[in-house]
Parts: sequence; structure tokens; C-alpha cells
Amino acid sequence: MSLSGTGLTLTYGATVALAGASVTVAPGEVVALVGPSGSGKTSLLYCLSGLARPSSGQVLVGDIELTALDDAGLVAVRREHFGFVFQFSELVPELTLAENVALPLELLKAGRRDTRRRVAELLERLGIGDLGGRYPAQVSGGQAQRAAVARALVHRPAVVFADEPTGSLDSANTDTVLSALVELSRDTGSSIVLVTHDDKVATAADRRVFVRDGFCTDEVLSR
Amino acid sequence: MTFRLSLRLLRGGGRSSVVRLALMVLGVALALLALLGSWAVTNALGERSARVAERQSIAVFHGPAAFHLDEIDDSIGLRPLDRVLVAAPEHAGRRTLAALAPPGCALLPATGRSCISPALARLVRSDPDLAERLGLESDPSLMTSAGLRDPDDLIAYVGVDETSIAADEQPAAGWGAPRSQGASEVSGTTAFVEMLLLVAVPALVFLAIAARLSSATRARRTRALRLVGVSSRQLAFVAAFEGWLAGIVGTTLALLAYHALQGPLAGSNLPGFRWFVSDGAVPRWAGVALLVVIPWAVGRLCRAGAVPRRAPRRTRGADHTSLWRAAPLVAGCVLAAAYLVAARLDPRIGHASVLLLGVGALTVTGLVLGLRPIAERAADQLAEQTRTLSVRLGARRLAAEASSTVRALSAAIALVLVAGTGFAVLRDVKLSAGSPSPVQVATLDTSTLTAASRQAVVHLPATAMIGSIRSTPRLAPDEAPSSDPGTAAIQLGVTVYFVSCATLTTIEPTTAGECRDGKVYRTASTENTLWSNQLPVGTAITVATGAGTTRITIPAAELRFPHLMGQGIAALENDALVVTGPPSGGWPAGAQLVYALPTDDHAIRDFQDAVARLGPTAVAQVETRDLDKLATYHVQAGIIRYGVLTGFLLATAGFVIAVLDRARERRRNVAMLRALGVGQKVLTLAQVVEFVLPAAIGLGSAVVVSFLLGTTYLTVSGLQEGLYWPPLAAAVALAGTGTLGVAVAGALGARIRTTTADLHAE
Repeated sequence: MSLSGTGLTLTYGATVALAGASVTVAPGEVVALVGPSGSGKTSLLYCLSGLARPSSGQVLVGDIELTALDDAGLVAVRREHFGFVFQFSELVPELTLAENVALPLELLKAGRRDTRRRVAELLERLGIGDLGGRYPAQVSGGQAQRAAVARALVHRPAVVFADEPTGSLDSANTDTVLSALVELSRDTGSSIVLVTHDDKVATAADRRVFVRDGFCTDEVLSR
Repeated sequence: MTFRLSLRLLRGGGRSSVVRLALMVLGVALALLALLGSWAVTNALGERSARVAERQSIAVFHGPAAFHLDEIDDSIGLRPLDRVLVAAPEHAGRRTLAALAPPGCALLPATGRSCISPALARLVRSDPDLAERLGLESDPSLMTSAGLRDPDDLIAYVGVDETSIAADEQPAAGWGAPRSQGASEVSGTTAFVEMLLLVAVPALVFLAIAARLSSATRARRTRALRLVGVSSRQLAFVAAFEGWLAGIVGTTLALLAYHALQGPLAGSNLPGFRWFVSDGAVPRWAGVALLVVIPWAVGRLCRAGAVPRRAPRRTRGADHTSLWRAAPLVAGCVLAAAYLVAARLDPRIGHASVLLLGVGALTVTGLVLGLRPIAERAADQLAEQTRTLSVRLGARRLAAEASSTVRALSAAIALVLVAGTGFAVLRDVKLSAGSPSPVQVATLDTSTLTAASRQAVVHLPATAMIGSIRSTPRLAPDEAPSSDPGTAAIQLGVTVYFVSCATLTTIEPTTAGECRDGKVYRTASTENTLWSNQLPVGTAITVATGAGTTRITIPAAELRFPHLMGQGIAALENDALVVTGPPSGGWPAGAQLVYALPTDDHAIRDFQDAVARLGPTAVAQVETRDLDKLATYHVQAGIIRYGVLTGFLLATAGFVIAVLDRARERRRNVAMLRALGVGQKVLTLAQVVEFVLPAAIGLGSAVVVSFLLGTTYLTVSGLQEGLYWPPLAAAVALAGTGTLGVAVAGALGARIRTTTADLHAE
């Protein structure tokens, strides 16, 4: 499922966060949004994912026009087609790692057996198979972030949005989490839209889109 | 620098900071307002009793008296009326009368003058006959509040001639016992303790909740400040600053609101009585003290709440509190139930108040201590069993934060316990104030009536009437009473009842077959035969009646009846005579008349009004109603009701604020869940489950425990055979309201708006 945002503008009061940004993401593609702080890359990610409503412009996911949906519609699209990875994992503290990973499937009312199997498989692949019964406060930041990656991909979404997914990790964990994110997305056929200011992370993407002063300026293919 | 930093942090916190500050101000204001209202109740009780002391006459036992007085305990309906007949010194001038004036009156009333309370004046204006019946002039002077117990006080000082005062009148030197000797329906100390438990504790819990709003956010801020090198002292200042500000503004608002609401509160009759506004006025020095103490206290609470806590490292089940904390609850319930069963089986068990108090204390302590482990385990079980995400999420949140949730609920639980148990105990007080019998008994001494009004006594509105006259003693002036009881009974007079057979059989149904009108009988108890048959048949006795004297010959015929001392409307004496007809010529002075009345308050009032119309000194005593104890019951019930309602409102408001605050603190968590596609219904239900579950467990347990304790108390006291439901209704109403309030707050809190800003890392 392709993703495209055209002519997106977003203002917060007097601040113009986006000034007509446009970007397209092909199915299965990994796109990194890069740029200096305050350039609008996170705002662009929020608009593309439906977390923020652009002041003008259009966002299409396949043939679904996100910008025309109401709140309930956006929630439904996010539930079914999107996955999210934030900088600080943002796992639900009252649920175990396994329950956190299973959450998207549970929201989609998937079968319990299938859910358990899928969760176990993902946790194993990410090297945290024996931590499924632990709570987020009982594991390290890197382990929690791997669980967050698993949660983002467990339901095979069309697009995974990742906002500084390795921003709080050391280099070893950065490599682990990044490679897991990219590999798993290739397995599920999911696109990734990745916000980062880290060049090393950006080079893992298929394409880098430079965001400056609220619009996209250059695009560079990594491969 | 620290002051400027504190201001910057407050301004920079944006809308959430403003909301938090506003909630803290509101919390301080409400808590203090409730405390001031409670203080007004206890202070008013003290002032009332002091004024009652100040109007007590100072008796003279030796030497000349300044004036004479006769205090009559009268009533208008069921309202006590103090009628004080005063006989001023002859030829007393205005200066003398002013010096002898009772509190609240300008002068000691001269003969034919009167000084009455405004409440009595209102009654007199609405009932023109009342003035005449009470012997009041047409334009009596009004008392000021200095001489009144409260605005509803009925008191009249009536100036009379010395000859009008009864033989047992009291010579007096003046007025004014020490203030400490005053009596009130409920002592100020008792009321103070009740208010402390019912209102002060929830108010303090409420204050603590208000002071700890957004504690997680403030703790993060403290950590960030510490990282940049702010010292501990400066951190303490920053943390306390908001509390001081909220304390000053909240205290000011509370004092202003109290000043405005004082009048309506004093006149509301909410705690069972009204008082003068001046009784509840806050002294200026106290207001200033509050403006210092309250902000300091709130600042301390804020400082304590801002200390960074370590994030809980939780392993499933390991952090739970021990279930043994609920042991006292189980033990207390078992003991109370055993007590109840034993008392039902054997009424001789009796009322061992210390033991019952111990069982009650054990049970209540157990409920407060045991609620947390019970809630944690119930939440865990629910989370394990359910397949619904929202219920599991709510249950897990409860299991993780049961401690703070239960703490916020504890005040509400305690108040439900008090409501359920207290109203059961109050039933004891009410029963001691009056017989629950469908027949109430009033007595009237005809020596307080004129000859004409003595004839009207038969027309008083009552169900039945029986009168008795003592026969003329046969003892010669120089003859000593015999040591033989039988002979002495004849020597000292015989009680002669005058009653128709129709009335007698309603009083003593066993006499139905034997009684004939127009006859004379001897009474003989079938149970107490100790003094039976001591009257020699054929002996003639003399009885004074309205027609003069009547001779009665003691007959052989008997009326036999069970010994009914303490039951029925009259205890027929053994060795008495019954004349089945009215006394010839009507009732003489000195006859004792006993009336049977319905238990309805209006019927009793009508009877007493009719008695009052017989004459200014005519007084009927409702024997089965103790007006003083009734007054005590009403005031005590009012205080408990006022305290429970106020405390419960505070407790529920505190819990609701805690719920809303926790929802705000969870914004990021909620924003993330919404990003993942979790719908609003799931979030709302999770929030509701998290708070309704412990509320239902805690308040529901409190209802059951209070019902058990209250019923046990009444059963072992011998006051109730079956289950007593009214306190249960009160407890259920409170618990239901509390749970509903919590559910609504939970649902509202879940609808909190989140934006993408909430997803940003701090």
C-alpha cells in the first residue's frame, strides 16, 4: 500500500511547522526523513500517520484519503494499517512485554492462538523471547525498544512510522533495533517512514528525504 | 533567584499548570470551608450552653431574697417552653428592675408585664389565645439574643404577684451560673470529637490530595532541576511555592465564602438546631492565623509530593501487600456475627459495650488495612480471567497503583461505616427518648387547675382517661402511722380510681367479664399477692370530690388483674378501689389524671394545646416522651447527618479530583494508545474499571460491615429483634452515590484531549 502526502501545511499558532511538504512512499520502501531540529520532519510524520491534521494538503494511503476521515476513521486506519515506534518505546506499563506486543492484534480481534504464536515468534526473533512475561519497568531500554518494534510489526501493517526509534539507545542497541526494524518490515512487506537526525540510521533507509523549513527539498537514494 | 524561578515555572507550565493551581485552590477552599462549618456547629453548641448557664437563677438559702421566681417546664406541642414566673420586689423602681433583669431582658418584668423570646412572640402572634393562656400581656417586650439559647428558644419571663407563685417557689438573688455549668442537648466536646472524625479527617485527606496533584510531573521537574545544579533548599522552595500560593488564595476564598454563607448555615437547621450568626463568627485573629498556617501546611504537603520516587520495578504478584492485613476484618466480622447469633438465641447475653466497641474497632481497622490487598488480588484475578482489553487494562492499572487509590477512598469508606453504624446506635437514643408503644401516656395534676377548668378535663382530646384520688387519711393528729403495712395503708389513705368499665377494659382487658358500671371494687393483682386483701371489707373511707366529700365502703367484690407496673397507661395499684363512674361533682384539686394518647406527634400537640387552654399554670407531662432526650436525639442525629454528608462530599470530591489528576498524568500513555488505534470506549471503560472496582469493593464492604455492627449492637442491647434496615439504606445510598461519582469521574477523565505534543519525550 503506497503512502503519499501532497502540499501539506501545518501551523501551531503562529508557528508554521509545514509549508507545503510533499512526499511519497512506495510499498515496502524504507524512507528516512532527515533534517535539522525544528525543520518539520516530526510534524510531517504526524501528518502522514494521521496523528495530526494538516491545515491543508492531502494524504493518501492506498486509495484511502486520510485527510477526509473523522477521528473515528483515523483511529480505524491506524489500527489496521499503521504501526508506530517512538523514541522511548512507550509500552503500556501495566501490561507485560508479550501483552504489549499482542495489543494491535487484540484490537483487530485476531484469534488468541494465532496471536500467541505470532507474538512468541517475533519476540524470539528479536532476542527477547524469555522476557515476554516481564513488565516494561523490569527490562532495559534496548529490550523495551525491541518489544516496541515487535508491537509495531505484529499485525503486518502497511506502514510503520518511527520517530527517532534509536534516539535513546547506545550504539550497540541502535544497530540491533535498526536492523530488526528493517528486516522485519521486509518480511511483512511494510513500508517504513523513519524520522532521524542520525546519519548512520538514515543510511539504512532506501531513500532519504531532506526536510528544511517545513518542506521537502532533496531526496537521495541510498541504494 | 529562587522566587523568580518558581514564578517562571508556574507561568511556563501553561494551561496544565493553571488547571493544577486552580484545583489546588479549590481543594484548599473547600476543605477549609467544611472545617469552618464544622467548627461553627461545635462553637454554637458551646455558646448555647453558656447562655443557658447565664440565665440560671442564683438561689438564696439564707438571708433576704432580691425576688422570687417559679420555673415551670412547659411545652407547646413537643417544643419545650421555659416559663419563669417572677415576682419583683414591692415598690421596686426602674433602676432596681434593670439591675435584676434576666439576661436578654431590659427589666425584670413587673406584675402584669412580660419579656419573651422572639420565637415565642411569633407563636403568640399566630395564636391569639396563647398569650392569654400563658398569662402574657398584649405587647410583651422581646428578649435579645444574649438571653436565648438559640433563635428557636421558647422562653417567657412573666411578672406575677408573689401570691401567684407556688409554695415551692425559689427565692433568688440574681442570674448567672458560671458558663461552664451550662448544659446543651449534646456537649460541645462530643460534637467536637464527632466533627473531628467525620469532617476533619476527610478534609485533611482532601487537602493532601489537592496538594499532591500532578506529583509525577512535579517530580520529573525536580529531577531536571537537580541535574542542572539547583540546591536542595532551592528545590524545597520551588516545590512548596505553589502550595503557599494555593494556600493563601484558597484560605482567602474560604474565609470570604464562609462569611457569606454563615447566615444561611446558621439558619439552615442542618445539624438539627439553629444558632445565631455571632456564635459561628471567626475571630479576626483566627482568620489571620489560618492565612499563615494553611499555606504553610499545603506547602509542606507539596514539598513531600515533589520528592522523586523510584519507578516501581514490578514482578507479577511480588509487590502485593500481605493478605494478613485483612485478618482483623475477618476476625471482627466473625465475632460480630457470633455476638449477633448468641444474642438472638439468648437475650441474657446483654450489652457489653466495651466488648462491642472492641469488635467494632477491630472490624473497621481490618477494613481499612485489608482493602488494599483485597483490591490487588481482585484486580489480578479479574485481569487473568477477562478477555476484554479494557477490563484487563483497568484491572492491571488498579493492581499497580492500588495503594494510592485505596488511600483516596479511605475517608469515604470510613464515612459509610459511620453512617451505617451511627444511625443504628442513634436508634438507641431515640428509643430512650420515648416509648415505641402505640399508646402514649400523659399525666395531669388537677391542683394546677381552677375549679371551672377541672370540669373541662374530661373533654381533653385523648383516647381514654382514668383518674385517681387519695382518700382522706384516717390518722388522728396525735396518732403515729402503724408499722403494720396493711393498717398503715388504711391510716394513710387509699387510692380510689374513678373510671368507666368501658375505659377500664381497654386498659385492663382481663377485667372485662367482671366490671359493671356504678359499682365499687377492690383491686387485686393475680401476680403480686404480697399486699392483697389488706383492706377490711366494710371499712368506710372518705374521698374528696367536686361535690365535697363522699363516703365509700370497702366492698368484697374484687377486680383481678395481672401486675402491670410499667405497662399500659396506668399501673393499677394493688389494694386500691375502683369506682366505675365519675366522681360526684367532678374532679377535686389533687386528683391525678392519666390520659392515653395516640403516638402521633400532632395528636400529642393537640392534647397539650388543649391542656394549656385550661389555665396558665396547667401542665400535662407526657410520661412516655422525654422531651429533653428527644431534643438530644434530634441534635445528635443532625450533627451526625451534617458531619457524614459534609465529610462524604469532601471524600468523594477528593477522590474525583485524584481520578481526574491521574488521567491528566497519563496523557502520554493515552496519546500513545490512541496512536495505536485504541478507541475511546476502550479507554473510558479501562478508566472506569480501574476506579469503580476498588470503590465498589471498599464501599460495598463498608455497607455490609456497618449493617452487621449496627444490627449486632441493637440486638445485644435488646432494642431490636429482627434486622434494622434504615441505617443500611443510608449506607447504601452513600456508597451508591460515591461509586457513581467515581464512575462518572473516571469516564470524564478518559475523555481528556491529547495532542501530538503529549507524544514528545520530556
